[in-house]
Amino acid sequence: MVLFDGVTVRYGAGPEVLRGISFTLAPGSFHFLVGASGAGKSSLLKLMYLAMRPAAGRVELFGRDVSVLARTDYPALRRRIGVVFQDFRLISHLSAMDNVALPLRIAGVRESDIKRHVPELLAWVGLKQHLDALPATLSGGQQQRVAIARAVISRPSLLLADEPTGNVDDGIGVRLMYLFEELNKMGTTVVIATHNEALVGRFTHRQLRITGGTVRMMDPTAPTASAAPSAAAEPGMGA
Amino acid sequence: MWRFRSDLPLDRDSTARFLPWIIGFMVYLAMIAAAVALLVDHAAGRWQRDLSSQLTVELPAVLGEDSAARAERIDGAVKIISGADGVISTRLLDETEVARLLSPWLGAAATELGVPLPDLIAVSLQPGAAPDIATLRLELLEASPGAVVDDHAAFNARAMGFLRTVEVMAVSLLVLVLAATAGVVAFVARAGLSIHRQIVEIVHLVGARDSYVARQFQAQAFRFGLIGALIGSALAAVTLIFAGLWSAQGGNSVGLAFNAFEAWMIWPLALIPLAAVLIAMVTVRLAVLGALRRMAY
Repeated sequence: MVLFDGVTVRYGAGPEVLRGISFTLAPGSFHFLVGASGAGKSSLLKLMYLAMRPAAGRVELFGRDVSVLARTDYPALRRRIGVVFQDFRLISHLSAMDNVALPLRIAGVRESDIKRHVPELLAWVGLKQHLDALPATLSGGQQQRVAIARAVISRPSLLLADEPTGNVDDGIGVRLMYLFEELNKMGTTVVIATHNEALVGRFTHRQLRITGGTVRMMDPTAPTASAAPSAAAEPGMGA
Repeated sequence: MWRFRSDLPLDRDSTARFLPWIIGFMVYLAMIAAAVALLVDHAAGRWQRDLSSQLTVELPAVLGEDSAARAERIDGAVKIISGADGVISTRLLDETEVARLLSPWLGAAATELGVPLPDLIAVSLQPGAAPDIATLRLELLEASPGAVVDDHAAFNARAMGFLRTVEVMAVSLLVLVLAATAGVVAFVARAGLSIHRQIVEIVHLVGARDSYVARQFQAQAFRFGLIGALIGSALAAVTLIFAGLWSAQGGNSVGLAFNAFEAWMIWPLALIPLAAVLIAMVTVRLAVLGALRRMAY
């Protein structure tokens, strides 16, 4: 599903943010991407949702080497990826309904299907009464749920979430994590970036820990938690 | 008016707010320029047809000639002219007509000056006829010394040259106006893309192709172009109607040209607003796709 091989990230001529990153994420796996603020979690996610290219190394998504992809090949891959951005990135003049419908409209789904599925999902995340609400009229937590609904509406193969519980209280945070687990059970590969160690501690999913620009794969269920730099996640082990 | 669902709030852009009026003004200018080109072309063709089917023969007066000899000389000239290829009829202009033609040089009382006036013969030719002017000249010189055959070629060439220049200027103005429209529309599209860069980034990240974004700009260009085309067409129609009415009431020579407006001219003119809408849409698509290709993602 996702393969990083000796990946280095840097912005412009600046220092390396991440270096020599190698790991694989099996289809259907569930991983936390853990690290302090500024450790490079968002950069790693950006590589996965094709918002940037590595300075060095190879990134493969769905078996395709993204460093050699043409720009015109990106949309097809991006439609298989759902992203929950840290700052939500909702479109301010569109209603919650239209924000969530965006990936479906882009994919050319019929309006009749959109009008059936989107309200269902918004009801599922507790926003049944806010279909026509503009993002500015919603609370931070509600906006976050709209962003999550937009990310999952098209049933992506890979779901990437950047601090998806950062703006909600712990109770809602845990509920959202259960939502991600449900999606994972349906076959979606999930990567959750967070600095919330308490939240991560409540679950037993594998962890990609970023420290000092390198990534360590950790398995909390192992008798002694493994901590090999740039380790590989084995298929079926994550969920 | 014709609201399209759009992910980009393009209608709220300050740069786009005046676009329908700008396009309307451009369409107005383009339609007036095209109308002038059509009228001039039509007038030039008609003028050329009229002049090429006429000759004027001037028989200078012979000093001391009596009226019988003069009449005989004129009859001889008329016979020669009538025998030429393509001649339909001849008409000897009377003294009053000759005096009127000479009045710019001799004044209103040309006939009272005692100056011997030439005899002028207006000759009508069959359409497309090409009589041998050189031979006719030689024959007339024998019959009436100093006879001049004017086929209006020099005047015709100068007049046609002027009219063609006006026509080329009008067509050039039309092309320039349409090009300026394309430039303005492209500028507004690029400005819109810049203003909504973040939204464009979001729709890209959720899987939109460049063509999806371009379609949204195209829809706006279509809508604004259509509004502008209607505004420009309406103003141009009002202008042409007033110009026609003015010329019908004996306006000046420029106004008289509008009197030549014919119903069939509406169709080529109607193509201009349609062309403006099409140009706006195509320009926007090319401008947006070009700018998106330069974006990082």
